Amino acid sequence: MEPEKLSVLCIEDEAPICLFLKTSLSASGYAYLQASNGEEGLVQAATRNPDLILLDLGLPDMDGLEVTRRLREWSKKPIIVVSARGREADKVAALDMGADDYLTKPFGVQELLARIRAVLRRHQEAVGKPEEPVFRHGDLEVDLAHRKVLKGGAEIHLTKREFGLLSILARHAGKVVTQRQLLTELWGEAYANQAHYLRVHMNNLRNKLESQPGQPEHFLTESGVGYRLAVD
Amino acid sequence: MNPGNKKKNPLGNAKSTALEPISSYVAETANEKLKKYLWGLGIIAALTVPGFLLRQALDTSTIAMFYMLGVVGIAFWWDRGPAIAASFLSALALDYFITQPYYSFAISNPQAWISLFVMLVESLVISALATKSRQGEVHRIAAETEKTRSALLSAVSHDLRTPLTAIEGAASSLITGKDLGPEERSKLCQMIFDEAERMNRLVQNLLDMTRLGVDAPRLKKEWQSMEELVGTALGRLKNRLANHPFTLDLQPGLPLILVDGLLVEQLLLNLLENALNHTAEGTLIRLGVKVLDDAMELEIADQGPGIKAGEEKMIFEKFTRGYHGDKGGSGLGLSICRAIVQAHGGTIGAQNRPEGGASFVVRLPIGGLPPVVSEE
Repeated sequence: MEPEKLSVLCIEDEAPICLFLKTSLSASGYAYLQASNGEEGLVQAATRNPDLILLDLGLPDMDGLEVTRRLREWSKKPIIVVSARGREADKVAALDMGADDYLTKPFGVQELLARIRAVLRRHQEAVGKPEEPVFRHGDLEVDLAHRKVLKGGAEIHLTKREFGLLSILARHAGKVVTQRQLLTELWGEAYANQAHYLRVHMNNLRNKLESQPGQPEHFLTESGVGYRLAVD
Repeated sequence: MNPGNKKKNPLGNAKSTALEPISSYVAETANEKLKKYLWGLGIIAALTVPGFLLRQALDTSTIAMFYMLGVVGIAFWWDRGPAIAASFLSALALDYFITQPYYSFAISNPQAWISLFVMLVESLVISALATKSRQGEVHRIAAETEKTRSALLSAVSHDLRTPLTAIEGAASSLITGKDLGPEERSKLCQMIFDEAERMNRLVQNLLDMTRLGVDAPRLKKEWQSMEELVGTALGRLKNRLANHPFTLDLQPGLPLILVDGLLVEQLLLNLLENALNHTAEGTLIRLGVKVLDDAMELEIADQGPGIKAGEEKMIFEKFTRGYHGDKGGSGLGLSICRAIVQAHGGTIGAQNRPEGGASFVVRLPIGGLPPVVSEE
């Protein structure tokens, strides 16, 4: 018997985008569910129990942030929000409200599938399997349990803050982590708006761990939103 | 020309363009009108208070000067209607509260009659003049906006139509062409993708321009890491840069800089794209960043054909297509660079390098003493 397909609910009102999503998701082995407005989306999310929700923040009937908030009242299923560039504040609000990641319109199919894979993997690990204690990507190896960081096999010494920053990103590898999430976790609520703390420590981290700190391969900046540790 | 006939901004973003002050001037609601008159009333009432207190000490004609000042202000800030109303109101207030006998519209001193009359006439003339000069300004701005808008519209429709034509052509070939081989098909698909990306860049530039087009750009300044902004811009151009050898020269230990991160990223993106658009594949592109006094200097140098003599300034104007051929520039990229740099109080310039190719140099003020962040 074929294993059951993972299902993705797309809450999106633009027909051409729905067609694009349907084609690319079905071709990649996902079951495609669709809702064209927020109300319908909430109903479908409750009745069809999708494995992942792709939510456009610009819906005709209600604010996408409101949909996120109402979904998060009862569902822990991963949510990826979709919005235009220049609307960083909306994305940050959605992420801080519990959305798992975001996509900026327009996006290509590879980006879409990579996000979905990363979010689903993190979600399954959180639910079932124990967390992978070692993160590997390219020449970078992070052993969270033993607080050991290797670059090209050589151990690199990190300060406490640098390791803290790295370990949060590694725990959410492939997913964006907002500036606020990083700042409050590392320095506390009072520092939630002191993004330059992150920038300085991120520079240090890149200088130690990237082969070309000016063209990072591991520590990616999501402009106006946060940071992402690259996977794959 | 009446700017009020075109209330709808063709770019559909009336909120953030330079058109806003004009349309709001023309399309004034009754409520706003009433507000202006009430403000006029308030100002005259407020001016009556010192006049009233000083009526023993000062001449009627001196106190009349206070009122004139108020009328001039009202005429400049609001409109002729409120200014004229204020002129009559000041005359009445002067007569009732300031000239003897007090609390009566009767006037005992014939000299006071003259002060009153002259003040009224002067106020009326001033309000007419002030309004006229203000309307002249409004019309001048409206005419300029109109000119920019039509240039913008024609450039935009051309620039949007070019990729659209390519997309439509390629897609229709894919639909109807049964005999296309897999290689031709994939070529056409790649073309659709590239042209769509090009349209996306154009739209982003247009949005940035409307954001910067207003008199006071809304900058979101934060202490940013230039190294990081450079890294993000380079990441976004990864595919296109793969066809060029590229050198990045960052001065070690760059300080933080107080800028709008998204806009400076766009600045870097546009300058790099400009270099990519005007140079052959395989030629070197170099980006250098260093500190120069209290500013940061960015230099983007290429090995392309360079800038035509005499066009070093012109290329920063809107809709000017650049030097020697063009690979899909919109004529907007560099003018947006200039707008971004100016909004930050910096400078931008272009020149040919003695060893060949063009060099663009941007200086952005660091913006003060960067905050100290402890290592722990």
